[in-house]
Amino acid sequence: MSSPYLDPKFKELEKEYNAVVQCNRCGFCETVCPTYMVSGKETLSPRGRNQAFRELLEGKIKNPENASEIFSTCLTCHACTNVCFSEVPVAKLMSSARACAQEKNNFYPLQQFLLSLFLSQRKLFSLICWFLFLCKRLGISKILKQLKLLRFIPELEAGEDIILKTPLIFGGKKNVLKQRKQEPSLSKKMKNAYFSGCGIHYLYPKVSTACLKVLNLSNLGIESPNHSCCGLIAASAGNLKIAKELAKKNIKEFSRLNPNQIIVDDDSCCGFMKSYGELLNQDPQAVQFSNKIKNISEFILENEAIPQIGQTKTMGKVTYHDPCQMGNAHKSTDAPRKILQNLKGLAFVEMDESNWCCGGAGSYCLKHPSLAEDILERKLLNIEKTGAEIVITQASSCLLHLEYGIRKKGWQNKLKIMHLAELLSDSILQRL
Amino acid sequence: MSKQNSNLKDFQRIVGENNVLYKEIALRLYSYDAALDRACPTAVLFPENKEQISALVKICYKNKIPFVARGAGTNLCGGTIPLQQAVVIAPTRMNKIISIDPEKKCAVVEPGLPNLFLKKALEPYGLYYAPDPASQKACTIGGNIGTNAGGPHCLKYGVTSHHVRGLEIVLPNGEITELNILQKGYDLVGLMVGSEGTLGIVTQATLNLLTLPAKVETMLVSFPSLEAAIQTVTDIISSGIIPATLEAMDKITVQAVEAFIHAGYPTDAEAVLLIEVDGEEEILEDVKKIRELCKKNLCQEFRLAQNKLEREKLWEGRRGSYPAMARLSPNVLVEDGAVPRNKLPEAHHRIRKIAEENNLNVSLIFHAGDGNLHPQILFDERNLEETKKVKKAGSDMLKVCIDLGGTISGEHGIGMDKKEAMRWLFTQETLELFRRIKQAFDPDNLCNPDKLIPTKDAKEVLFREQKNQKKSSENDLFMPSKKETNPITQTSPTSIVPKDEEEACSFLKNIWLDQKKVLIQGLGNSLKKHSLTPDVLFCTKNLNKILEHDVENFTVTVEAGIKVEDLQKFLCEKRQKILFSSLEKSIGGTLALNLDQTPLLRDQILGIKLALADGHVVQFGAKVMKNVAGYDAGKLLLGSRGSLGVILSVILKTFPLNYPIQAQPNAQKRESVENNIPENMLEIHKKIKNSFDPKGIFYELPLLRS
Repeated sequence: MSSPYLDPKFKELEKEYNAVVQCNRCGFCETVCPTYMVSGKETLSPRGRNQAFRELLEGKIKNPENASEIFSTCLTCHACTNVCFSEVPVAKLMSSARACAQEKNNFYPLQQFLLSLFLSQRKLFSLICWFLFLCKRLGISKILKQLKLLRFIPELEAGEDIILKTPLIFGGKKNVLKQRKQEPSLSKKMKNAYFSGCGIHYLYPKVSTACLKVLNLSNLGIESPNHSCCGLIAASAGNLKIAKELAKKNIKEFSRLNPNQIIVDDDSCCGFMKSYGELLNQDPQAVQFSNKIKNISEFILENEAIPQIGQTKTMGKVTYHDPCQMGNAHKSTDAPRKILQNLKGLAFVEMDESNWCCGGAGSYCLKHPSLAEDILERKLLNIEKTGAEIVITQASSCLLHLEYGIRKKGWQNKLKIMHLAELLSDSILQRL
Repeated sequence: MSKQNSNLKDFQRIVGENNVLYKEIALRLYSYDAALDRACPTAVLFPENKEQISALVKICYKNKIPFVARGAGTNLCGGTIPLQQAVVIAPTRMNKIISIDPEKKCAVVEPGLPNLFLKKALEPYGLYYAPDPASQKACTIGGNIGTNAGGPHCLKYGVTSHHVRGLEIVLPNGEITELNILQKGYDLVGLMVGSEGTLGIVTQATLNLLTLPAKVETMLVSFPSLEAAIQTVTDIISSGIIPATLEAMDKITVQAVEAFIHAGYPTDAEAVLLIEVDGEEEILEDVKKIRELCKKNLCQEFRLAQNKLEREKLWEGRRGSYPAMARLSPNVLVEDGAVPRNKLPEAHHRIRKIAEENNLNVSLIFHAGDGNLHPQILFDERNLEETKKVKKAGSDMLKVCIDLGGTISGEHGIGMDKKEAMRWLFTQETLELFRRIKQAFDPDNLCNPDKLIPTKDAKEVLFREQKNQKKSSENDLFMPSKKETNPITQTSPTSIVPKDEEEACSFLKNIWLDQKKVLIQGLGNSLKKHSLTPDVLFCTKNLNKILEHDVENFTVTVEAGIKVEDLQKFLCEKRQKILFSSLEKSIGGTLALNLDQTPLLRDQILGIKLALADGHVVQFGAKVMKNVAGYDAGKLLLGSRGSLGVILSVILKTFPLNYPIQAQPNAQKRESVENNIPENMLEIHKKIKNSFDPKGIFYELPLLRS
């Protein structure tokens, strides 16, 4: 029996509705919400989003499209849920909310088809990325921007400034793994798998290489099956159906390998995959899969995997920025800190509000560049206060946006952003 | 419509297009606060500075557009709901700390600053801002000022009004003015705090800061009955210890909390007390004393937190009382009443009965030290039937508080939720006076309209007229008739010395009709030579009775003419005292002159009964430590020098004889410099005077006499 207050049009969203009505509007979430804090607007607050979604589901909003801005501006950083007495999962609800508020024009089916196609076929996706990256390298996008022709695709227009490097050779997994396989010391008993998120794969192939270098030292047997996007991109875009399909596809791909653990190089994907169980309605296989998901720092710490790591080539004061999908969503904050504190030559300092989103948030910084920049500003100030020379993080979108912030501030000479794996692989190189 | 558009354009010109919301979906998100009421505004404006607020308000004033200031919207009484299609002015982006002065122990902040942010910023200085409402994570200082917010720590350190030294305000006509508690004239800072944004918009506040205590000890004590727990509270305060917090929970609440938080609270006890003392080394002695008092009252378990972690755990349990309920149901009605402390067990008993009769799931927490109680009732707002029932039960609970000599709001405010309940608490004369005060500031009723004060209903008007007619014809014999006054008495005024309140009022009624000029006199020892030539010298020296001394509640109700010395002597026999220094003066005189102790004096007054010029009696406050019902108009009388009315009686806080005066947050004397009031406030002063005394029977404040 569905709730009598729920608009029958949305009867398949009963679960979401029951979650959102638990918001009793106390407002305690507002001051942890980056978009509220930089704007001061209820329309950019978790409570506002909950109320808008609730009213939409109750059929009180005539044109749901009008609410799309309210939902699309959510960073899905999960900070609100952690302070919510009723634990309303705002970030998770936003997928459905965005879907409800999406303008369903003639292009909509095509859009969805392309989304599904590219995300599930990495080779195809690579082709598109390669082409776009090439265009940027050749300065074509810059010219288009100057001609104001990119205005029609705001994401690309924003990307022109935010994305600096556009590699034409993606994720370096194959070479490294091959090299490693020939070494006899590889333990056959243990088998672990490596998942490379789209952001790292396309934008930070060197991080992917670094990850594999580090993991190979673990002697725990790393393999990397073919896989597609984790589904977060689709979920953020409001298409849970595609997200679920991608999740199922990935579970299937990895099950062939039957790994003990699955190491994910991008915290955004890692956090999302840790929630596959929830996404797929507690399907036992999905739950099992989720339990195996680890980011690099968790993996190293839990397995005491790489005893060699002790000293880094990089020296100085270091701080850590928590990617939301792991820090806020899974409260996984200890592992990277413990590793950083134990590295010789580095002095770890905690930054204020380390879990405050950097504004990157996947493609958020491309969709809402001005909001994202205001959010980034506070992050940069907190980083500056620590006096750190290096900021470590574990997600590609944080790397991208923080690097952008540093360029904007002109801090290139005094501050470096690195993925944890890069730092660790440096330290290994030092040893060898 | 086009008019509305042109206003929107004007607003946009001032704050920028991005800082005006006007689309329906956005406006819906400004239709609520943390409670139940709903109404959509016509626009939401986000100013960045006082000049912008002033400019926005000026447009509103000119075009008669109602407006409401709204901070974080965490209030629980409908106080920030935009009625009459008001525009919302949201200074949420004005959230800076302008300065922190560790020497003078004060901070200047903008109104949109969240309370907790201030606390964090002060930590490095070893200072803190005392009011700590439960919503401090989100609620703003501006909102705290509007509602005179409290919190668990206000037992020892006082509520917001004790900690606001100065305000910068945009008045309802758009003018900017500055107020502070050292200014001559009426205590307008006192009036502003708790006025729920109906008199103006705060654009900056100067706040009083305290030094962080060196030591803190936290205890959790369980009792076989709530009576025993409350008796312990009384005993602790009687012993001269004022703990930083004294929180109580009943059994049902503890059980709900434990099911959720597992803070290790004893679930079999009928009541638990969470006691925290802070200060220097000497608090270890206090802990010992408290333990003995708990034992004397047959406590079951006495647990002293051994370290920070354990203390945090105990607090987690207390703080968990709301979440433990919130997770069980879509809505929680947090009711807010206050009673004299010793009446808490009875209030508890009667509230529980209401809950049972209505079959409601209610948890009850108490700021036991203040007599403030919060029933938290579960419901689902979608179920209209249930919602109605819950609201009715909430009202019944408030009636219980009134019945026990308490008030309808200890710290949440009146807003629109409790507007009707104001009629149960205040006389029609008092409500009418509130309306006139509102009018003095906001003649067009634009500034947060229809809040706080119930509208005048037809019955009331009729009732008032009848009362006037009836009263004016009687009691003529008390008054020396006009005909008898000979030329000589015109130079030396007639002295009137009423023997009780009733007589005082009768005299005033006749004076009112004859429109004579009256000078009020207490014991007469501070009457300086002046050039005034009153017709009547109204002397309150015979109004010198002690009406009630509630020993357990630590309150005393006295007539205004009593000499401070005499009252101290009386209280001394009961091992109590008041913190007044000038023994020779009358209580009323001390208040009217606001002698030498500005902050200290104003913090001791719980209630005032006043005879207006027309002989009607108005009464503010009650025998409760926390009270935010209606305007804090009693504050206006401090330093009023007899210009507003005759103070008949006063309810004062008393203290144990051994209570160290320096323990009071505002004990240190301020420099006696009095600041002049800004030009544009002179007019407001005149209007306030006029709202109390429209015919000018009493003399103006010296600074207003031309």
